[in-house]
Amino acid sequence: MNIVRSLFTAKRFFLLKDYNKRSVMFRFRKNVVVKNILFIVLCVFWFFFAFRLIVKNSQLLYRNYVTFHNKTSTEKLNILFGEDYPTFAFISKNTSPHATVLLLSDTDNVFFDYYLYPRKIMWSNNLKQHASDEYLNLNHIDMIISYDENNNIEAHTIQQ
Amino acid sequence: MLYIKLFLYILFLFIKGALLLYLLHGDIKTIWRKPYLLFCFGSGVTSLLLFLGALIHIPFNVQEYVILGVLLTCALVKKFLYKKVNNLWSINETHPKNTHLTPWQKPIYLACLCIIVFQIAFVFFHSWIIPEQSWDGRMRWGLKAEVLYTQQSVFTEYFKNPYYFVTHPNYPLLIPLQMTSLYTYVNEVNEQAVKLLFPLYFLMIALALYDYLQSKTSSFSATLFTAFLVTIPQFLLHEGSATTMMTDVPLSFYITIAVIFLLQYIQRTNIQILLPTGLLLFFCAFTKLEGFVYGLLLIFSLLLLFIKEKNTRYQFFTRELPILAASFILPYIPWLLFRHIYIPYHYANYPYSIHLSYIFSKLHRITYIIPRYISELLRISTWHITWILPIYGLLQSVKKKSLTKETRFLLFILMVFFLFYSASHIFSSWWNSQTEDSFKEFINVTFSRQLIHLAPVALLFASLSLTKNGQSKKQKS
Repeated sequence: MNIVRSLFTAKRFFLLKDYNKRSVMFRFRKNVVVKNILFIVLCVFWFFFAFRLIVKNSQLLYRNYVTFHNKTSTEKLNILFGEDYPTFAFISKNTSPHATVLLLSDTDNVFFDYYLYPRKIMWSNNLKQHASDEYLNLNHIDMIISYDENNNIEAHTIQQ
Repeated sequence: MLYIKLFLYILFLFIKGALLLYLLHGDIKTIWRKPYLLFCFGSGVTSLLLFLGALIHIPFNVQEYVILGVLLTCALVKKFLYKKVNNLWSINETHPKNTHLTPWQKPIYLACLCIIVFQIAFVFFHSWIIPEQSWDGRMRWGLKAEVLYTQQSVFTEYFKNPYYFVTHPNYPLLIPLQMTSLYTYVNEVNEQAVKLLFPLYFLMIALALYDYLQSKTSSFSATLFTAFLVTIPQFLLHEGSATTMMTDVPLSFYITIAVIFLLQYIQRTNIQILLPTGLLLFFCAFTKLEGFVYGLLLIFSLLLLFIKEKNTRYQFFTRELPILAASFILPYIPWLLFRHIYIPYHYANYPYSIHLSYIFSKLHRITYIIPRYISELLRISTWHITWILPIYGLLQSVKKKSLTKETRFLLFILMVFFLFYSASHIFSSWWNSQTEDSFKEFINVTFSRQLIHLAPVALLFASLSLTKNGQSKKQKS
């Protein structure tokens, strides 16, 4: 009986006026109660998912805090770029801010363009296609850089 | 020092918002208590004036002082010229309907409050410690802001250089200009600082939803629905969320505020409120490309509501609708002209590539779209019960025939927006949706982000429809 009563009182989720008139709650038709059960079930589901989300977010936050806490922006970039960081640091150090660089690599690290702006970074995995004089002149390329998995960097400056 | 600069940036944003609202005949005595309104108009007007100033070649770092000076001068002139303005507008100024909690509600209320505080803190903290990781956030919005700040002008090579076409230079500039403004305060391109702007937008959506629902329903209901909003996983960590530098959450914020303003207008028919509403629609359009269509759709939904009304006032069509449309379109024209004259088009994703035979050839896509939409709306892992609640509210309202004017308007918005989403997916000629496989991938990428824009409106509808149902039943009993 108490369970049924508690279901009736759940109507107060959205009926907050006259909350003291308990008797009013018992006059509703049966189908209204069924719908409230549906809403309560939805809310219970939501509480379950919200709780799970909070636990997941807390773990994520802790992990990220441990990884990034007290790190300088350079160290953060090192973590972000991973294996590509030496190449990033090399370009950053050895090219002028307005240089156009042709990078020969099989991968395309999308972080490069943003963090190396205003340098223009062009990617290619086909040296033969992109190393022609015509292509280099057309795109005003100042330097060709190639690097491999072991971070062996080779750079060739192009005289315009 | 960085914290002080950030504090100053937010403080000046709020001051600019308050000055603009004062100029728009807002009732400043009640509005200053609503930080989300000050932030909304402050951020919008800053970007608009920065853009207009840049068109006449004023550098952005000088403009920060000019904007504040211009707004302050206009406010002082208004104060001395118009000593008393009648018919000031305000929103949600009524006191909360019910703040009392039963013993049964108290633990739920407290749990919801804890959830809200945790989630907001999580979004801020996560944004603060982790560098930007989304490609769109970095290359489409972050890069634009960096270019604008370093060049101190909108007339840069970036907009014309084919090398940057992949970053969509033709996308609107409200958020990049906002980021540029923040860079001016902190005196450098600081990604860590600028990332806090997006959780701030998220916080303001939560505040706006809570404030509106509190004035319409009760503290308990408002807290519960705000907790629903802040626990949507799509808002937290996915592509387009508040922890990335993408414009989906800001667009969602401007749409929510615009809808709240339109609801106020429907309720009171105060013509004064139409001017700021039009500006809000402009902010939507200046945030993202689809924001312009959203603005038109909101006006269309309002039109639909008034056409269905039996006693629609003649002035609505002759006076009020033109004011709304003009205050939306006129500020958009400078950006529209700049975009068409200065930025060359690159991708063929524009309406001129859609012709009659193309439309018929793509109609079969609807057989994929509808099941895909349903599965996305019911995807608990990304949306929790966000989209089940409005469906539940709608079913109850229809059965009880208790749709009020406000809920009808919100329903029109949801319907019209979903029609737009369907049409955009069916007829998209975007380069990435030419083949059937890439079209399916296109929906997977875009639809969840489009739903971010509409989620607060869906929760508004769910809350109001469920509340009104309850009230009407009680009245009957």
